[in-house]
Amino acid sequence: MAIIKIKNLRKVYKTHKREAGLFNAVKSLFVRHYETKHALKGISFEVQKGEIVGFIGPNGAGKSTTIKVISGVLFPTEGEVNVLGFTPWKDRVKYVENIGVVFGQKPQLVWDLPPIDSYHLNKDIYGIPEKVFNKRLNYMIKLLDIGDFIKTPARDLSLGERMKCKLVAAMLHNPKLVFLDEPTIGLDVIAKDKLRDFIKDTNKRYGTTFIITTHDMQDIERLCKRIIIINHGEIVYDGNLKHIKSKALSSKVLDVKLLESKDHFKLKGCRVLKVGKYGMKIKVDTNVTSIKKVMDYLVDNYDFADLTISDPPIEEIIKKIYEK
Amino acid sequence: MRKYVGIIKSGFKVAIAYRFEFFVTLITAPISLIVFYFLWKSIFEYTGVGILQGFTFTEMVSYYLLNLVVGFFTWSRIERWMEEDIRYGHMIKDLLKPVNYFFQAFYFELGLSALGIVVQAIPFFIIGLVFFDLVMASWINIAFFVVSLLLAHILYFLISYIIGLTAFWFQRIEGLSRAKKPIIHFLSGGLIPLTFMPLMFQDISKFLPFQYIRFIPISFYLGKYELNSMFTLLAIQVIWVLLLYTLAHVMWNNAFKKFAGAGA
Amino acid sequence: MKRNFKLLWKSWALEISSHMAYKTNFAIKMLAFIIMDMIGPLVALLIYKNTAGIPGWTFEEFILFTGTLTLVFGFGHAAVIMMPARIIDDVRQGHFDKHLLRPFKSLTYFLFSSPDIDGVAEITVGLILVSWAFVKLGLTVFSWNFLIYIFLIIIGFIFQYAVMIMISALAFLFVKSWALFDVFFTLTNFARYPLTVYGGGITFFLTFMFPIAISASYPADALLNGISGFGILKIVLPVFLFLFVSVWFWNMAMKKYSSAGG
Repeated sequence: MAIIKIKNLRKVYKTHKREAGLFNAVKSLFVRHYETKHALKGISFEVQKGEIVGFIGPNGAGKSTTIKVISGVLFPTEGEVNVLGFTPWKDRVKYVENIGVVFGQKPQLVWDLPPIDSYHLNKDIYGIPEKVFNKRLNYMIKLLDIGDFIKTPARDLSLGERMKCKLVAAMLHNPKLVFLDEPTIGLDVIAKDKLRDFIKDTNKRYGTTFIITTHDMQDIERLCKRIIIINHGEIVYDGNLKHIKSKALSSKVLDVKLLESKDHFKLKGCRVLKVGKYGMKIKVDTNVTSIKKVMDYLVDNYDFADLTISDPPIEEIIKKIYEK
Repeated sequence: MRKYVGIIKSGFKVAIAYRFEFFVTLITAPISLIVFYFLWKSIFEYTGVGILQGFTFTEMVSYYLLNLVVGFFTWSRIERWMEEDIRYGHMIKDLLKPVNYFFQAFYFELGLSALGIVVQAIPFFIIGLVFFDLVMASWINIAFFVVSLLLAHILYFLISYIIGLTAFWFQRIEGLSRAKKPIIHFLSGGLIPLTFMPLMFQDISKFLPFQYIRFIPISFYLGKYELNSMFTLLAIQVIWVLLLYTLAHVMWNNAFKKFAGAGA
Repeated sequence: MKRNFKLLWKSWALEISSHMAYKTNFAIKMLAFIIMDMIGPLVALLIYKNTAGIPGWTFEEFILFTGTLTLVFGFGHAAVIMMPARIIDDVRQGHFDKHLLRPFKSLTYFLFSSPDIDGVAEITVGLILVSWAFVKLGLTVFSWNFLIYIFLIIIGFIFQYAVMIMISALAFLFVKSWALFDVFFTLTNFARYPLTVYGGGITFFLTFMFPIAISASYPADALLNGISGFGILKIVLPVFLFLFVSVWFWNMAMKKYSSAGG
């Protein structure tokens, strides 16, 4: 059953800009420049109940515009949106009872008070019955392991603790659909894991649908079967994660720190991206040569201090898909 | 000094960023003047005398007009910035920089004030001269007015700065900060000339810093004092600046000893 | 409606408990507000000691006037002044969306969730001043005039609400700034003295255009001297007109925000 149906969604903005510097500051007293921006150029997609969808793309690609339209706080310029049977921006008041939204970088708890007080506020705002409230709260406290700090004022919590508490606040009313905007940004590995487990578990147990925007590939790999990639206001990929990985992640980046300066690195399937006196960056095409071969070659010919292997950044993957 | 030019500039840029506020003040500032104008007009008519506590009606209007002009020099919100700096630990971090926090704060607000003085204080002064029978004072009175005004600016800043420093001990000083403005406003003669106060208060007031923030500069302009008294009053004003500066310095050193080690 | 009152109740509970975290600051703040609100009467005292006073009002009557003003502003302060403050702050920092994610109509939500404990100090001072004047003037609460007085105070509060809606809306439409806040507070300066101080032009402005005279001048006058049915209508209608225009602006602002995204 599709719970989100979006057809040909378009959004056009007008913004004004100002250049830096004292002269421009004075100038902006009198003149302002406006420009039109096409944030969304007609996107369409559907989401089924119980899916966890990764919504990715570079900054300014249109991710948050899409999320804002679907969560009912932004009017589109054109297009049809149906979520859970509502038109979000028209039926906002009734609609938002059914969704939960977490912004990774925005405050959503009362700053000077412990999260538990915010939860009680939400209980009244969403009219959650006492029994249901307690049951859900206990379940989430256990799963996220936050029992120790929901009674500490939000301002004294660490980033990870606050994030977990925010997630709880957004999900107390058992929303059918949850938007997570950069949920793991700035968190340590353990906190990230806890958060991901929580999302998975809730998804399984309650059939909650999640839409996650993130720059963290690990989030995507651990959580999402399906991803939607958006760039320049258009959907450039919508489909299986495995599929895109085999297609796009056919390269790795090797960062080598050398102990001696040595010139020319040459191996089939490798391209030197950057070379300095004591280090170099090499891109390996894994379809042509294996990582093992490259490593062997390095061990044989070079004296190196450190070596890191990484996936190309998400922007590069998107770029690659976009180019196709 | 040269490194502080950048700080003055950044204050000025902040002021420009809030340009709308400045333009709005051009409209709002005269409103309080209008209110006082009508209030005193009705009081003078109702009482039926030419002079009230040493002020004719025209002088009274000039008093409130100069009050408005002086107000653009005597303001500071530095304690709010300091409260945040202290709370988030920026203050201690700033100690490591080669600039003095006190002067950094002072010059930042000087930069902020600059726009107000140019686009607000001076125009209002001219408006006063043209439309409100404000009399051009003698050059000696103007000289005393200007010097006293600059000292008043420093005095107000020092009081705010000292309140700001108390944040080292109190953490939150919103209450003190809120109370500061109206209390200083009242005690400095911003609401009613101090000659309306009971005599005993006027005597005590000579030895408090507050009247030197508004009442004294304005009275210098209006020629309410003999030359001798003017020198005496100016000297007291200077003494207050020195006293408060010393107090700020002592407080700062104490706070530094007490909190820098603790990583506050 | 039940949910709205729950929201109001919870918001107050939260407001009080967040202040309890800094008790010293809270105590100083309350004291500061009480001192601030006593400065007006103090200036009045100085005026009445040195002059014949404000035409048409004895000192006791003027204290009734000032007390009423403090009371009405106190209600506004306690219940709605945080509305534009929150909105301007959140719009500036790009956090406004979170309010739209609450299952309430936007205006209802802000009306029931913007408490400010500072207003309580103001209400207290207002009540003290009014009570003092009541005793001195030998007024009674068992009178028709008193009922009208209470009614007009409520209208005065409604005007406060309308102005806050207007400020919030204009802040959305034109500038995300505190400037309009300042304009409002400066305009309230007119309300600090009775209408008898001003000429006809300003009285007209304060009755029909920006009807802030409803905050004290009219209620205090009605209590002391009575008022006709037509008189009530004349001063109440402009307030509702102002409210109507404010809400219209607000809806326009919400529409603009929702189509521009701040």
